[in-house]
Parts: sequence; C-alpha cells; structure tokens
Amino acid sequence: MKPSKNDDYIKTFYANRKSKNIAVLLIIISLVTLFFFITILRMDITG
Amino acid sequence: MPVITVNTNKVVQDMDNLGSPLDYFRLMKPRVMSLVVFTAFVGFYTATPVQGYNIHPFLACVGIFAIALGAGASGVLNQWYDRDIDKVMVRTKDRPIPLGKVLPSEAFSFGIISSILSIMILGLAVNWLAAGLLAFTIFFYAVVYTIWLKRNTVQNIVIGGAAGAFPPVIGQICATGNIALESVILFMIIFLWTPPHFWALAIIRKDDYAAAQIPMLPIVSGDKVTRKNILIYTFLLVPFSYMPWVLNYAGTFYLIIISLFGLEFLRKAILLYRQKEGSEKSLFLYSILYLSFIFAGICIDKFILNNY
Repeated sequence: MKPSKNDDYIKTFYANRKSKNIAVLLIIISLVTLFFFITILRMDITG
Repeated sequence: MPVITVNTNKVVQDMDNLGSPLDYFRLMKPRVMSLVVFTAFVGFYTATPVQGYNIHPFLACVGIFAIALGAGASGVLNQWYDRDIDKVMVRTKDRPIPLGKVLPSEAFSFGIISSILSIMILGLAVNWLAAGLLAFTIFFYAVVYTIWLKRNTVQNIVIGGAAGAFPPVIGQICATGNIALESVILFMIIFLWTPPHFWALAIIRKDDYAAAQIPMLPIVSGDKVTRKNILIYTFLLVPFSYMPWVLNYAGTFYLIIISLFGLEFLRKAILLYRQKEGSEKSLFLYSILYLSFIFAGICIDKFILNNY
C-alpha cells in the first residue's frame, strides 16, 4: 500500500520530536559539564 | 467494565509543531549572534588589563558564549512578539513562527529559559556586573525596543540601537570587572552606526514596513528626510570612529583603516543623499563591512601594540 501524505507528516513529526529530545538531552549534559568546570575553575584551591 | 478514553487534544496540538532543533537555532537570529560575539570579543580583547583581576581563558570563552546565548534569547523573544508582523513582511515571512514550525508558546518559553540561563552562566562563570548588564540588554531589546518603541515611534531604531551596542561593554566588563571609557567609545560607534544601517534597509524595504505598519522614518517622513538623516548620522559616526586613536587606545594601523573606510562611507552617504540609483543597497551592505573592518582593525592594532 502506498504511504499517504498523512503518514509522511506523522513520520516527520516523530523524527523531529526525537531530534528535539536528543538536543535537549545534549544541552542538559553540556550544562552539567559546564557548571562543573565553572565551579572547579572559580574555586580558590590555593587556600 | 471501565471505559478508557484518550484525550486527543494534546496530541493534535503537538502535531502542529513540526519544528526541528535547527528551527530553534534559526529563531535565535544566528547572524545577529555572530555580530554580537564578534563585538563582545573586541570589547574583551581590547580592554586594558586591571591589576588584581584576571580571568581564566576557559571562563572567558564561557562568558562570550553566554553573551551569544543572551543575544539569541532576545532574538527569540523579539520573534515571539513580532509574529503578527513577521507574517506580513516579505523579509521575515520565512521565519520559524510564521511558517508554523515553532509554536509561539514554545518560542516564548525557549526565549525566557535561554535568557535566564545566559545570565546565570555569565554571572557564575565571570562576574555579576557583566551578568547584570546582559540582563538589562535582553530587557532593553525584548521589551523597550520590540514591545514599546518599534511600533510607536519613528526613533525606534535610534534608541533601540543601544541594545546592539552593549556587547563590547559586556565583553570589557568580563575582562576587567568594571566599565571603562574604551568600551563606552565602542558602544557609541555601534550606536551611531545603527541608524544609517537600518534606515538604508528601511528605504529598500519601505513597502514591507508599510504593510506591517511599522513607523520607520522613510514611511513617516519620506525618503528625502531619511537620506538627510543618514547623511547626518554618517557625519557623526565617521569622525567619532577616530576616538580610539585620539584617546590612544588604538595606533597607526587603526588610523589607516578608519581613514580609508570612513571616507568611503561618507562618499556612499553623499551619493545616497543625492539619490543615486542603487545607493541605498550599496550603503546598507557597506555599513556591515565598515563595522566589521573597524572592529577588526582595533583588534589587529591591539595585537600589534601588544606584540611588537
């Protein structure tokens, strides 16, 4: 059976939603890493 | 037997949103962001070091990233508020919100979250004075310019231009921890550069702005007054661009650059005033080149002064 236009729409929707979720995950990981390094670098470890 | 019902409203609403991460990035006005990163970097690089204050290079990069994020966030909030007029204008009708790729509510959330994040990152990584000025800049662009000035006064881009002029000051605060005269001069250069740049665009896109009912100078006062005002601002901008050299913040290299590019800018403004065909587009494109080259000139000059 030939896929309808609606099927393509749903496919695009799910593909975009997946890429958005991955982007959000990457942003969260980057922010955690970033705040970790900011903390380390701003800490006065020399006493 | 219990009957299970499914609420399809949420699903239908979500299905309207076909935006990809790239659409969200486009919402942040990447070209404006790149200009902001560049001018903030110039402010940072050309700042005179202050004894007792130094910043780790990684944190400096984080600072520039936070400024870029803040600029992007204000661009998102601008597009969220202007979605009605963006739909009408040819120049902006292909933005993600008018195309229906990003929902206005999502754009608003994205803009607010990005704004808060950028201020937090800059404050934690660099200093809270820079973060405070970034917060003020976002507020100035998103609220004072976009919501208040843009649709209400012919001086919209003159006053609103201040928002685009803050990045070098923020960059300089990142480097030194306080505001110094050299970054105020960079602020003034961008501030005086904005009207000729945008009014030349407004002449080219006059019909577009008229359709969206934005009171740009060429629509309210006509082309002749706009051309005269472009000339006046160019005559203010070019001599003012010598200030870094006059106050000894920049050397001979900068003097040569500003003399060459300044004279050409004046020539183009005079041609535009005389209504030469195609002079609006020529001045608009040249103004971008002018700002890029004089800011690059200050940087190169500083590099020469520091190393030779």
